[in-house]
Amino acid sequence: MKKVSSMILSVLVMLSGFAQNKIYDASTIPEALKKDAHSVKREERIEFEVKEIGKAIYRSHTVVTVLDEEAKDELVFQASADQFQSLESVSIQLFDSKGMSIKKYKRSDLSKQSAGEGLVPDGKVYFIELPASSYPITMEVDYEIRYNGLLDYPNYEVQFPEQSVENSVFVATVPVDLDMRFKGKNTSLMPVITNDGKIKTYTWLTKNLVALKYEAGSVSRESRYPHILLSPNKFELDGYAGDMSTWQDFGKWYGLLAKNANNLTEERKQFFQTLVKDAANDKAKAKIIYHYLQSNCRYVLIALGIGGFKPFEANFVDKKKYGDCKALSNYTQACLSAVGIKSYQALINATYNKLPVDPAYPHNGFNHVILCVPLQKDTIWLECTSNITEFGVLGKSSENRYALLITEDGGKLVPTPKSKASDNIFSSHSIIDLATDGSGIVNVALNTRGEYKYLMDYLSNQKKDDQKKFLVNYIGFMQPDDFEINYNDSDRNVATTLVMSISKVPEFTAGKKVFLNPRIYKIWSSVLPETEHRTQDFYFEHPFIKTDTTIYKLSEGFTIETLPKEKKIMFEYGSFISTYEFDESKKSIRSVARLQLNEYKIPAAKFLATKNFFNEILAEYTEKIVIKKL
Amino acid sequence: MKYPSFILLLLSLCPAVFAQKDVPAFGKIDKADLEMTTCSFDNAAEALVLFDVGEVYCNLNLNTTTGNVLRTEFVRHVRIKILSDKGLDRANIKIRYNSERNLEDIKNISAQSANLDASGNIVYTKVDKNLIYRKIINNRYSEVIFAFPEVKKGTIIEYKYLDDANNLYGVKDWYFQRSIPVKLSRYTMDFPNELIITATQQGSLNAEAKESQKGYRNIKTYTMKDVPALRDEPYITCDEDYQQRVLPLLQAIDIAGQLRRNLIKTWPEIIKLLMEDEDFGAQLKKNIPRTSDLDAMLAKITDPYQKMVVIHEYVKKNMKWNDYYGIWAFEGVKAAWRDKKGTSGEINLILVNLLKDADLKVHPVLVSTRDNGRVNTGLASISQFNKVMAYVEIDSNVYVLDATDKYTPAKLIPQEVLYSEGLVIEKMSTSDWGWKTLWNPEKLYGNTCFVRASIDEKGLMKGEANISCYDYSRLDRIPELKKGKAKFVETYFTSKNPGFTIDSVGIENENMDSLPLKQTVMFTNKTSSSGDYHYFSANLFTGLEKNPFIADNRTSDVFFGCNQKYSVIGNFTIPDGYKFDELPKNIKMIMPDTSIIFTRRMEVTDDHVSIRIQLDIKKPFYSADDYPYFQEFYKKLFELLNEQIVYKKG
Repeated sequence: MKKVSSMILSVLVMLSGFAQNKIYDASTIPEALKKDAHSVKREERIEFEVKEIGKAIYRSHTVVTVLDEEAKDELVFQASADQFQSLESVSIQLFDSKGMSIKKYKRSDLSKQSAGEGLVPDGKVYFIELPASSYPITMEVDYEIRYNGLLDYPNYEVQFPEQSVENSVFVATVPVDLDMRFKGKNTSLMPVITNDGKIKTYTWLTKNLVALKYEAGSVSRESRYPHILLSPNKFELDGYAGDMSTWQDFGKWYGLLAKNANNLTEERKQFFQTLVKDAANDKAKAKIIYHYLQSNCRYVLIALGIGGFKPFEANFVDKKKYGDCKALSNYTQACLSAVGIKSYQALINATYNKLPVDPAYPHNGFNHVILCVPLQKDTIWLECTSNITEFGVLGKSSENRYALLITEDGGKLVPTPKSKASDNIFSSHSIIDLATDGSGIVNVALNTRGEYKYLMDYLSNQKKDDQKKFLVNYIGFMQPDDFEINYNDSDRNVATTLVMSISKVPEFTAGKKVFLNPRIYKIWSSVLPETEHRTQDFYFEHPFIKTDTTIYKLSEGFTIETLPKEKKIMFEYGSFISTYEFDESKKSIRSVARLQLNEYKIPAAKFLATKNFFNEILAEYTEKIVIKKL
Repeated sequence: MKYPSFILLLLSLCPAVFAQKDVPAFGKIDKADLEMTTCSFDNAAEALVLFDVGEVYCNLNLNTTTGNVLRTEFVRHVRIKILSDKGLDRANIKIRYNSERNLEDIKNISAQSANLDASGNIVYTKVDKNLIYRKIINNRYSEVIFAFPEVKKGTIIEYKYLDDANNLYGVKDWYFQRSIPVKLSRYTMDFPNELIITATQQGSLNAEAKESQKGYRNIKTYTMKDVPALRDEPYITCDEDYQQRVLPLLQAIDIAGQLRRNLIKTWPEIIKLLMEDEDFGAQLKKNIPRTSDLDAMLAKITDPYQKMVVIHEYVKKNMKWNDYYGIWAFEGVKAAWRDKKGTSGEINLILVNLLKDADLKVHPVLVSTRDNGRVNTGLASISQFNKVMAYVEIDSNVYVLDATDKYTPAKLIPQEVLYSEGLVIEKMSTSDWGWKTLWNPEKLYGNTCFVRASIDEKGLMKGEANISCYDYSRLDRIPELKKGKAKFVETYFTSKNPGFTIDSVGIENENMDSLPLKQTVMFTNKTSSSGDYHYFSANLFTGLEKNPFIADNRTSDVFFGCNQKYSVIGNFTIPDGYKFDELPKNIKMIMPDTSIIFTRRMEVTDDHVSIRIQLDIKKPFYSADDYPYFQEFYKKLFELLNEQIVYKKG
């Protein structure tokens, strides 16, 4: 072991000795590293030194050449500081394309701002944006951060998008008795590990990595590029010690923080018991409690109490009627518990294109809290921060991933249900009375479920001209001269009716021929990103079903000329069907279409087929119904 | 102690705040307001400001021994009704104040929400004092932050605070208008007669102004009722230009026994001071250290226009703008020149210096960019300007140069000041000045597209388009092109023409500022068909895909900034054995004031159609009053642009 370590050391010495001066000169970048790259990491050495539980130092030295304006965002230094971490030192230097020093910056050149959007002070950010009068330009940054309390260890970000790497070293040292864990993501890079009996050292060494292209619609940025996750076994934050080596232990720690937060008064407990007294079963009771939460409490972003991990007490939320995801989940749990229903708070990494946490690698990869209610027959999941989500429905951001249940026995990692196409429905039925002059009165009934309900909620809350903009630009209706929207909010905006008067219904006319769109709005309008050799999976936000029935009632002055052909397009993950018929007796054209997408995550290899499928649907809309003026 | 009785009088007058009858006292909430469910003049509103009243009380303590002390106390009282779930966020309050050197402090905060309980009684819930937070935003500002408890649809929230400020820091612009409707908004300025304060109104509606004299004090009140919500509108100059507000300004100090001091200067006085100012005028007389590369470039040139271009490009390339606006060169032009970085003031004063050194006829011009709002030429105040630029005259031509703007060439007036009023300092030695409209009708937003395409038996159209983007259109596209060609092609061609296959795009003149940006596009497109009918559109690659003006109402002027010209000249061939159906009509459509002209001509010879579409917009802006015509014109225009050319077999 000793031997290996001294060898590494000599490699490092050689590297730095050899690289001096040259690395500041942009002309020395190997051609291969410029391909697809907007920046090049010339040299990097990061040392992360864990001194003892809850105490560590992070030292970073990087030299990055920014090749063009596209990567100018990298000419920024940013470091956050709060009660658990402080910026000890920083120095920055800029070099021109030939490697001549342009300017040095010190700590006093940095601006300081409060961090975060939250309502409460949550630390501050030091930052500086460096000027680039021309490219390429090289930036050298040296800084040190001291930790006093750590829940997560910093990741080793090997490579950023469209960035190549010339040389990079990451060294983590940790007392042998604490040790640490690591997991490589999108990389097979492995560390050299040495152990001198007291200190264990992990060294990752990499060089000459070519740049990776950016692909639109991929998995979230933090899961996309090569990086190494580092995690503690034992940790301490604000005096709360914990163990992260198993999900169970990590859950125990979180449970400890929320231990005394379940504190409703007897009077309020009775209130909830009375509220649910007529409910037939636990599920019905839980539904009543959930609706009480939705109509009485609101979500407010607040991060308070040990780095934002400790929830507000149930009693507080009960009085104030607001809270963040932790506080609202904790409150709902307390209310359910008051009526004899058991539930568990569950940590989750919400966002539709985030990867689920790795079950085999316990770490704190979570950003949200939901509630899990195990009932006899089925398990109900509750999103406690939304005023409009249906009872028992997890939206696109927390479905189909792992949640860490906080149980009496500690953490338990369980999968959340995966949503089906039929959970998200947008269904429209339109009748158009078409007058001889091309104008029409359009009656539309929209029925929405799941994610599409949020659209209707958005629409209902807009100013009239913004509603019009939304109807025309987003949903794709023809421009109405006047319209009226009505909501049936007895069932939380599910049903919407729309009456529009449109002065010109046809798409265009040619002589006596009148060309009508196959339906009154575009069932699909987005163009999927261009990509020739896609390597990343493509993420839609959610699976869905969209259906449309459009009925054109022709006035006496018209006769039918041509109907578009019926279409049936299938692909591995979905289907599209359209049919057209003309009812001679009623003089009406009935157009029916149904678009279904079963999977929201499309493997890279299937992306081309998916894009073609949606292109065909775009093309289908260009086929017109042709009628003729008599 | 010259005025003891006078000061006493001041203090005793203090509690006159909110004596107005239409504003109820804190905590006195009308049950009808709690029962109300929609705003009477905006039924889609998520929330309604029932009232928003502010009174600024100025306390002048005249003291000859310790110096005069000036303080302001600004009391604000706001009541908001939450009308829908979306309005819940209105119950999270942030009050920003200047905490640098304790210039301002927010005190005496009281806040509560009110709801009706099941039996119809009003229930009040206070915001706990310990849940009112202070957050330091940066070196200068802090925020008081709190969230109201017990808020749901129907709740009324109410808060009141005192902004206790040094000097006149508590005197702020008052905004009557917000993104939600306001039922009553009132601003009162209660000032001792020694301080003569005026307020300028802005916005298209008028606030009711009242003035009265009470004892030794002058009280001005501005009231607006039923103020509609502001809404984002496309092609607007600056939201603030249209937002209803008053801008208080201290005019003069007139203390008995002393000379009246006029604080409001006339423009000539201001310019004179400005030219003497170390951070402005003095910076125009600095000798910027010469750089040999610039000298070498200039040595070869005699043409003044070329000289100007070279210097402009040199400063653009070598100076990095730190994103700070302003006319001042606080660090000095020499320091900025050395650091290769500076504020807009520093960079453009360097530019003026260098142009002057090259014997060009150059003057600094003070401007207000579009985001900063329109300049009020009648109000002599330097704070209206947020940039200084170089105003160069060569023969009879005028150029406006901004070296912080990377892409705008010397021949174009920067877009952010187009059609605005600039104050040109004509003679630096004598401080002569004048207003100039920064505008050149010759420079267009111009797009020309020549398309030649033929369609085969299977309905596949293959063709070539030659697109030329002139002046401001070129300027629009260049930043996107600098991000890489792939992105450019996607933005301007692939995403705007779904169904098209873009086989190749050739780009010419990317780095030739004086020439149009030429794009040669080879494309394939499956034409549409329905039964026997086949059809295609000739509105190709114009950038006129979607009508931006669909809203029925408009409060702000439509501002394009420059005149526009779009044209398509197309030649399309259909396959043998097919013929054209009835073509869209040849048509000419003109706005009543002839400022927009649309023409379309089509001519068929056998299997071939030639098309000429032209759109000329010869006015840089349309006032909100013209909007009904304008909207109708745009609606018709897009109907015409959407018309397709139909052909069939036979």
